[in-house]
Amino acid sequence: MLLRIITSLFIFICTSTAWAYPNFVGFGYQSCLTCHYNPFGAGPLSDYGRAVGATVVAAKDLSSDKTTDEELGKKSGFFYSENKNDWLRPSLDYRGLYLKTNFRSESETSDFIHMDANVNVVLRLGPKDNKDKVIISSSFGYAPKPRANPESVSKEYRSREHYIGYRMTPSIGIYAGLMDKIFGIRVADHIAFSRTSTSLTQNDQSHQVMLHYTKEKIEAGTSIFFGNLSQDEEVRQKGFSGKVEYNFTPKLRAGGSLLISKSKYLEQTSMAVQGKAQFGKGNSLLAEIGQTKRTVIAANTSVSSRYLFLQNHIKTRRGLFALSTVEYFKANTDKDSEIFRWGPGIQYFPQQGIELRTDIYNTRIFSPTAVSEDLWTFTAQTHLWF
Amino acid sequence: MVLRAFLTFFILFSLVEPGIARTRKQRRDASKRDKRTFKKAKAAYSNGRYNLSLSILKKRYDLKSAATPSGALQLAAWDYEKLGAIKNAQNIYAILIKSRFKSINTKVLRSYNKNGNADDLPDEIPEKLLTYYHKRAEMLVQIYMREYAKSSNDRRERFRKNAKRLLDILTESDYEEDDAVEELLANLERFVKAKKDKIYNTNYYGSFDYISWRDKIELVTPSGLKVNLKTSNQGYCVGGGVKFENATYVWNLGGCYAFTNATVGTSQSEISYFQKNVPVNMLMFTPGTLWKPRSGEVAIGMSFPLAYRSGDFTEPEGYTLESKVKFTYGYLLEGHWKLNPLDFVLKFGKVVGMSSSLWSFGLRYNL
Repeated sequence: MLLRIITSLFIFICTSTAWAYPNFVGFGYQSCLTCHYNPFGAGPLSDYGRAVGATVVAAKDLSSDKTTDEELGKKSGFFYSENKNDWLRPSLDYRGLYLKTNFRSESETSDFIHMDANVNVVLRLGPKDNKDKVIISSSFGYAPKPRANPESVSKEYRSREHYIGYRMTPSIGIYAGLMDKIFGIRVADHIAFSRTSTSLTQNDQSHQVMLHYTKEKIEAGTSIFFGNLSQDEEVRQKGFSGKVEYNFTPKLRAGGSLLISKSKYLEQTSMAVQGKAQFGKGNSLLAEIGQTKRTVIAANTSVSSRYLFLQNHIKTRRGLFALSTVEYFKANTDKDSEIFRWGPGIQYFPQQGIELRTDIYNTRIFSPTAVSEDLWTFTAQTHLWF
Repeated sequence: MVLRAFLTFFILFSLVEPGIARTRKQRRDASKRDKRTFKKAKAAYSNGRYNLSLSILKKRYDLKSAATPSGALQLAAWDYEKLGAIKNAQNIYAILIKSRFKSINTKVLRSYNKNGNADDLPDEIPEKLLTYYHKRAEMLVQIYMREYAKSSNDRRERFRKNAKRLLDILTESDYEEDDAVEELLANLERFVKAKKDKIYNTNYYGSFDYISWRDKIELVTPSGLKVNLKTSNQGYCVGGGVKFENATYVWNLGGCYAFTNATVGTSQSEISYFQKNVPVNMLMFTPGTLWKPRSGEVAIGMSFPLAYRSGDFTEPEGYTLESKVKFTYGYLLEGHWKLNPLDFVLKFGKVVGMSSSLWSFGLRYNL
């Protein structure tokens, strides 16, 4: 039964949209603001972020040998061209996933899922010497119905992000609109227990007012959120979240997160400690340990869950990374059942705007009352952005 | 009186003057001979006949002597260089530097040796001297690289230090060919690093891992029916090993002893068997190899464990358990991250006879 739930969750969650890669801390980019308009990552890339993607992260395997990094950087704008102006930044992106679950067993299934297809627009409205001082960012696109619940009434087209941002100073920014909540490490893996157990998956954005602070060794953020205004009032989770991180060394950043929210039916408190470390050039290790307490208000019952997320990124050559994800999850800290999941994978950026990724996940359940088979899942992802 | 003085002078002059005249004539003849020799040698050099050019010069001059004209020495150095006799060419430049620029060269070297760097060199180092320094440095680098394998450590170090000293001096002075000097310095540093990176070091370590595997054993009923039992094992593995590593590769001989608890059960309906907290131990020997892709702090690779597993499984009366003890082998993918003096290690793979993966993560302490 538990295995079936995990399989369904996997399929459900795989319709993800985020494209934040905190693994790029391996290149010395400690702060997400370096490459993204959203200071906590995900969403459209800034001009600098696109240039970094083209010249540092991605390989040049589809370009001629004579193409220089300078040329790639210049043509890292919309549809691989130079930006035509300094105020409008459109972008498109698409993710498709080939998913095979329970392979090597009788109940093996496979499918191809169009995870998302988005149109993003950023308006840069700041003064000429600092266009990013004021931005309006919006994203709209395809969001397939949950595969575990095809009868769901959720819409297949939605906006997952739209907000106004104002950098009062280079250190302080204020943002208002629909965004992901601030908490933990914003990884692209929406199946991660650190995302599912904290209700921070691909459709958990909230309307909020967010404050961001960064200075030398410290980065912090806090937000007050009101739930997604497109949802019914009763189910909207309202509350606040915050995160602070400190650079203990130029290659090691660690900190903590807190999220408290409440709706008419459910209360949630989540806490986490997270860290990001750089090894050499292009290699990283991410770690997050956290706990979430959920209270069903009507029944006045609470369940606490605990998780560990560990992900490494190893650069074998430009554009090609080996990665593996190790996760631990205890759905109820009062009980002895726990889950471990391992996922070695390969991530390949042959060129700017193209990502190919494949992972194998092995999920193992430890229960004091039953012994079950491991669950094996294979995924192959294509991500294109323009 | 005057006449006597005049006569004395006249007689003396008559006796001495022919000698002076002879010396002057000899010098004129020698100078003409030098010019002829040099012209012939230069012509031979221009025609690519370096051996001929050298033999012409050797007939006339001692090429190891500071008294030999600078032009001849310089030409001989060029001949040697063209013929690949770099050591001989280098020696000639050393003579030119020490004899033609003795005073300034001494000052430059004294300053460098005193400070350990070229930050406080004398002003106005002649351009010619800098050119000789450049040529000599070039040749010292070539000799160092060419003879690295057959030279002793001391000899290698001498060549490297001498070359480095000259290159540092050139870098800090106003030498016009600074690009060429920079490239030469970079080549030298690259070569030194490449050689150093190949040297293997031996390191011993202790390890502590969290480990888990999925296994299977068979329960044989009194009637002979075989029922598959699955086990979920998790616990700790304590051990150590030795690794031989350089900047690019690691060869590892390690092992550990695992203390785990297992949950044992079956999904077959014919029988009901369930046990938890069963002590299961495993002795593992894991030789392997890793590659450091960026010659840095991260390595990936494989190991090939040999494992001996035994468990304290309960045998119900009348039943027998097969595979209580297992000797097996497999393969593991590994990743290592250096957090000096610790290494963080991940392993994931397959062992023959076990129904699913074996994995572990933990720390190694480098002794």
